[in-house]
Amino acid sequence: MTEPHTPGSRPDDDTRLAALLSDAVSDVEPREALDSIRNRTKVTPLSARRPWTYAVGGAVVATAAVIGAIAFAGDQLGLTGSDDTTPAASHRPRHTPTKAVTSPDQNATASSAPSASPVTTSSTLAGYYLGDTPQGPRLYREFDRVEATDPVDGALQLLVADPHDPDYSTPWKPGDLTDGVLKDGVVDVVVDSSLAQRPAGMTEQYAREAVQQVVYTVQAAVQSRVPVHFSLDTVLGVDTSEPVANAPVLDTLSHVSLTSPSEGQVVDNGKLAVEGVANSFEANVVVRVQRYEGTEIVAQEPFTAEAWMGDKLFPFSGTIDLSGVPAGRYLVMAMTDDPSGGTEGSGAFTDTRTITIP
Amino acid sequence: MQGGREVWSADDALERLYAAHWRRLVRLSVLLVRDVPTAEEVVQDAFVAVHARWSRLRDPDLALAYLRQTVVNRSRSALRHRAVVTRHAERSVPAYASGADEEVTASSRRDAVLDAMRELPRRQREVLALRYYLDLSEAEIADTLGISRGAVKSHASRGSAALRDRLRDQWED
Repeated sequence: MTEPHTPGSRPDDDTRLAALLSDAVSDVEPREALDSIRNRTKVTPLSARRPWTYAVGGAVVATAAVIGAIAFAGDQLGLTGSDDTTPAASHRPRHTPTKAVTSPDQNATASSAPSASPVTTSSTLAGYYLGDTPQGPRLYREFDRVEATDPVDGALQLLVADPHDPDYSTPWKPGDLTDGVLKDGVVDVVVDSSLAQRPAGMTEQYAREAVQQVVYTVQAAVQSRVPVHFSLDTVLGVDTSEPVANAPVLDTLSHVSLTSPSEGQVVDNGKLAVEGVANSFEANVVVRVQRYEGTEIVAQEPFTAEAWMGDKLFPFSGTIDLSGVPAGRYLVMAMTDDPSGGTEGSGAFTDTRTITIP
Repeated sequence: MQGGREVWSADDALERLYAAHWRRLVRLSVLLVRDVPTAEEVVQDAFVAVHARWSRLRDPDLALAYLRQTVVNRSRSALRHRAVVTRHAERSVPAYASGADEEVTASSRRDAVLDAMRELPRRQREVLALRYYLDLSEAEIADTLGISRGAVKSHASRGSAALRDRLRDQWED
């Protein structure tokens, strides 16, 4: 949300109102109308191709949404979209954490009263990055280890670093976001003044996601839904004159994320353990294993997430039998259910991992 | 990911705008008119209009702003000129798992929210939908509705207070 605070109402109310309105129409799935619109614009239909086939067809491999492991530290607050409470092994991020994120109380202390000679510690934090989905740019999550003086500093470092996954991007460069401080329930961030306006070629949606990228990453780091107060009145053309709260999860994040397998994982016992979070029609998530080269599908299993209504992502997990599958590289793809089969306006969200069977 | 801006034909623009915004705009219109078939018609009309105007817009962001404005205006006209029947049956409610109390509650909460929106004065409803559903800034809302930022503020503030009042039961999870 760009201006979360309405005079005379509390920020909580704004969040609740946004959630209620979003939820009120969340089950509205309009009929496909592109063809009838085209007929009315008297344009010869060039093809029956639906626009989202760009994303859900072959190109899905190219835009493969590979994100890091899930909610290593932030999940107990539901910050990373999962309700599960950070169970052990399979939730391990790609880099072994050397130090868990400190508690919010410690964060507040560390942030508001920095010592004269800041000591950096190494910790693993979730960074959000922009990636393409059928609904335009959305945020995907990666985990990385940073050396930081405090969690907010760590979050800003992640934001200006290149994501590991080449399918993701960040518009922030080193020096763009500095001096992050958590104080009195608000995180102040200094933004380079050259970034007030939206650059030519950047869409409004991308700009909004980029601002939310900062909000989500900072909130995951401090483990609290604190608003972010930017030093400029507009950032990338987005109104930031008031502290910016997190926008609704389903309007901001990809609707499916794989926790496990991890990228590049070797599966040598014929069993692929799959875990992730999703918000998908009737909680259905399909996980498919196909040859990395080519399109041959060697396994496909339906999974059921714990729920699907509401503005968050829900855990799903299970095992796929890969015994008898020949050695090689494979692509694991988790997909949200698109009950229309691509004939309605959205199309499926996907997340992918590459695995190796030795 | 955001390369240099390419030049789109009107057809390209229509296709891309449709892919990116059709569902969201229909949902926006549902918040304004309550009725899904009416909303679909309103938004279809808006897409036809944006296609016709593409040679003057030539910019996806301008086109989106135009689409929004057209959807709001046409939703308003649809309400004014037609007796919109609130057809709950027309809403494409997904089949719920039987006995899922939570879903039933969710469904009635949605109805309550949509009903409460319909009872608000038109401007307040429009401002709330643009602000809380589309996440538009005050300035963008002012542009879309052709009113001052001050007016946006006051409609937003009164509207959210009124909505909160009407939805007291739904307010807390």
